[in-house]
Amino acid sequence: MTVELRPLGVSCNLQCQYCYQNPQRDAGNLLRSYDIDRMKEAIRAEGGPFSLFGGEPLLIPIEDLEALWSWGLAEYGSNSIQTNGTLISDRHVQLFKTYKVQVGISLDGPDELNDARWHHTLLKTRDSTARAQAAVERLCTAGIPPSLIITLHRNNATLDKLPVLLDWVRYLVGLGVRWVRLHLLESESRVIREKYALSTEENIAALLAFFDLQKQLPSLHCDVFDDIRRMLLGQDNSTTCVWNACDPWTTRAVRGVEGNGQRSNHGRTNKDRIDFVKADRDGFERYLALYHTPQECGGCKGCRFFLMCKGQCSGTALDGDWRNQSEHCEVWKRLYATFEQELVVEGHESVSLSPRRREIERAFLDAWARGENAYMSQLIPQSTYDRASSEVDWRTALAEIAHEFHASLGAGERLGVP
Amino acid sequence: LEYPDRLDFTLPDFTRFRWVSDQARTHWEPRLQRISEVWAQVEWRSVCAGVRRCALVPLTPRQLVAQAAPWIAQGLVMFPLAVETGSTQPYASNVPSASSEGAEVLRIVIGAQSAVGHFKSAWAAGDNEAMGELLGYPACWRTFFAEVWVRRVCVDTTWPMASNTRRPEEHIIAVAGPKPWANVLGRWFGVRADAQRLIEVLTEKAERLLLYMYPGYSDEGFESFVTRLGLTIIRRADAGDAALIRA
Repeated sequence: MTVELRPLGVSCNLQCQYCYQNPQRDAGNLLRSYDIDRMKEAIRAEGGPFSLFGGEPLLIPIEDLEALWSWGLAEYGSNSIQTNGTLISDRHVQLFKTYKVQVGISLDGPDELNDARWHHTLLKTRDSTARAQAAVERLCTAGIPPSLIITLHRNNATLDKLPVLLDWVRYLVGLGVRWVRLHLLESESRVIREKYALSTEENIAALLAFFDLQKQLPSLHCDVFDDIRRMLLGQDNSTTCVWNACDPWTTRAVRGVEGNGQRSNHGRTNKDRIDFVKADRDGFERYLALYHTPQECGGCKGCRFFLMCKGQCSGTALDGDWRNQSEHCEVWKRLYATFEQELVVEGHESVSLSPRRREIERAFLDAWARGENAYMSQLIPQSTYDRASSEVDWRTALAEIAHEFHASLGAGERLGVP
Repeated sequence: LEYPDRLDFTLPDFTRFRWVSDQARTHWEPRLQRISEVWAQVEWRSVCAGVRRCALVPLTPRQLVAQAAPWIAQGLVMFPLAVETGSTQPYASNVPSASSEGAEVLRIVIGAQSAVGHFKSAWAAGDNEAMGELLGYPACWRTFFAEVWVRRVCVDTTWPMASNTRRPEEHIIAVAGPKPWANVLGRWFGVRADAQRLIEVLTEKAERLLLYMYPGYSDEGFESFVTRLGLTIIRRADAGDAALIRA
């Protein structure tokens, strides 16, 4: 688990149209200063290591970055950062190498495909996009290829734009980029949703196109596909937080530390414009309620993929109400069904089709009622669902190894936003 | 109002708090804790003050030993009605039976001997109306309880309470007001809005109750408590250290 360190909170040099942190910025809940000693103390208390996060973490002076990373390297052996990439300079690249900083860059594509990541004017936006793109290329050249977060929306993933986006990813993979996290657009603003959100069909088409691309490019890993496959196999022990009954009041996969040392949750769950302090204990009421609530009422009752999806991320819940299922329910359901079919063809048994599914669901409900989370990997003898494991191709095996490596770096959460 | 679309399950109790900042927590948590502690005293002191005939309190055996002496000194008797499992929640709607795991808690009724006898009978008969009356709850409370908690089986009364104040607009009831003590959500952290209700409904008795409560609390703490409720303290010359309070 990685600590998300946000020295300046949600302060950012860009004004990405769909950013889930915008309501907090609109409310003026911004940090304008930070205290390095307090941050270090809080990181130690959380048990580190940490990933610099924002807003845009490269807004802080380079001397302070160096102070944090030199300390991070000494304490934890490596560092990481999630940035929009527009401010990366040669000096930053040097620091990344010196202090073993894994870099994640949020970028939605080349040129106009990235226009939703707005920067005051179209001219500045395009210029910032070019600088971010150049930063990705520079990092690849320097031998430290970044991971990417790409948010799919109408500016980059409609049927007419998707080929351009895929070509761009293909080009970056050729440079050395390996890890890509795909986000479906989620915004609290009706105007933004109407302008940028893809339809369910478009989202599915875009995701499946990326899945095809991943099949073509052995070194490309979009963690969502690996996750879905692993969840169907009951191998949930190193999958990302969105599938694992995250409690929006504690977001246990994300331990935020603000510039003043205050602990915070993953910001995507904040729908009230406030970075709430973590609750003292986990709760699973969302998942108990989802299991029993009919799908037409915002729940997951009767869904055979509930054990895998669990309503997905509470930060994407319908109507901004964390109690509901994800607004992208249909997208995930279709994706799970696609992968389920693929597993069947390969001779694997998917938990979703298992005669033991109800029994496993009951074990989850019992654990949640006790205030504990449950994991399929602890409940199911893995041999049951992994009987074809000896036949698994080298790519799956490699993906698993990479996944574990990624998890050991806390990267499952490191890539979390914005 | 019935709930034709009610789902066929009940969630276990869950009450958790989130603070908007560490600073807010540092500032408010101890104060709310003190109010909550005072309110626990009010439960039985109100009986001594003659505001109501009985009080119903949950206590561990250890707490009972520690707290029983003043009740006896005041001429009160007590009777354990049930052995329950203490909830780990700050607020619990469902009280598990003692067969569940967890610390045992005694549900105790306190009052004068005859009142305790009546309460015991009402408890055994499940007579909520009689119990409510003995606990000093006004008729409107008892009606609400019978309708919402008993008949409609609502374990969370927040929505019906709020909708009594303002008509719901689709899925939202926006309840605003200058009186912080009217915030019904205070009950979740142990600050029941009952104090204000008592003052509104039973002004004379409520004054006596608060007068009685006052000696058990430091002057500074009590004033803070009263101020928090948005009340005014009027010093009364012949009341010595006591204070008369008006909403």
